Amino acid sequence: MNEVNINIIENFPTLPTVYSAILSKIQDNKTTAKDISDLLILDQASTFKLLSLVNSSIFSFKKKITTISEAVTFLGFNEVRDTILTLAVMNMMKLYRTNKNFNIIELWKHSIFVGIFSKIVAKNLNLANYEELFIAGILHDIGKLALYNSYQNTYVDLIKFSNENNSSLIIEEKKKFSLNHSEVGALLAKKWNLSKVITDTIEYHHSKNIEQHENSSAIACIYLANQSANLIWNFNTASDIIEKPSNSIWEILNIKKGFFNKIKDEILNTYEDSLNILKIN
Amino acid sequence: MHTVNIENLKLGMILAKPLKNRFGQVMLGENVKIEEKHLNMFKMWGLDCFVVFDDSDLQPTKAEKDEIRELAKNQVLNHIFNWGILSELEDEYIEYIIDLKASLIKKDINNE
Repeated sequence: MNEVNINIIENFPTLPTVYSAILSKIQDNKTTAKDISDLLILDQASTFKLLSLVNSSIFSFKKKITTISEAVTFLGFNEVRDTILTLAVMNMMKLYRTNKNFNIIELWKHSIFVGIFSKIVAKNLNLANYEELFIAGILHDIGKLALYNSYQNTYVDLIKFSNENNSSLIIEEKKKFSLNHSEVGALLAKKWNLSKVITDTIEYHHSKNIEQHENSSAIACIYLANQSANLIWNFNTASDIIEKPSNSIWEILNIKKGFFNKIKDEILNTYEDSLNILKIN
Repeated sequence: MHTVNIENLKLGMILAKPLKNRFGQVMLGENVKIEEKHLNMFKMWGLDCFVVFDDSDLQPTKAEKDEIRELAKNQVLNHIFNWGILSELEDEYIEYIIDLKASLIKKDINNE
């Protein structure tokens, strides 16, 4: 990785202290649910948000979860860690002023939709780790945030340029910064010690040959969710034409007729709930 | 719209006509959504007759629904005009995306 690339990662705002404390605690084998709970209780707003999230339709627990300890017990350390990270990232988005060509609110809505869509599709296809895909979906475009953080108006101009010339954003990013936003996102995910599934989906969500990758089902979910979001809203995308999913996407996921009609309401309701819980304004 | 008395007035109902006291003074305007604080006030003022909107007044009409779906359809089709002929599965997928988009447009309209 050359110097420029390291700077993009190093310049990205650090996570709030309580989150980094929790992330490092979780890596310690002796940490208990109570340890995590004690740390997080110090941050009331996050405790509240985490519990709201855990009790929402995004996670489908039958029992109401009222303490962090319980959340840790039911979700497991890694899921709690990832959820806290997601809340931290959502908080981070507040720091960015809205620019006409880089609308942070739209990026936020897009990311949440991709998270919800991926999770529900994966759950209905009986894929393992579908909860991780919610996190992966929310974080899939984090690289764009990092590039904007480092390059501000230069990045905004690049997006505008690729929109006006109908060129692929990731190609333009690679030319200008020697990294595209998928690669930057993956580097951040590795820095945050996220799972290989999450890191791979972030890295390859624009990939041409998804079937060759180890976590092809997960990547295909995020890819499909991303395309779906772009078909529904068109902001921050490179062109008006949305790429057609190749046949391999349908094959990798083994999606059959009738599948989409089954999941429509679930996606709508869960998306609405999540906008309320993961507010950034 | 229909008329209810104070016992049948529920939170969330929306006034279809302004609420006037016995002197003809407007106490609360139309289109106000009934909240907890209002119920106490109504009891204090001795008001007991309220004209509220029905659910059917508030839903989009069928013509409006069709119009929204048409808008959603055109916008989605704009993004896929080079997709060529769709397979059955792709067709189902696109119809689903259009439905989802139409529902989201409706929710945005209702939230404004």
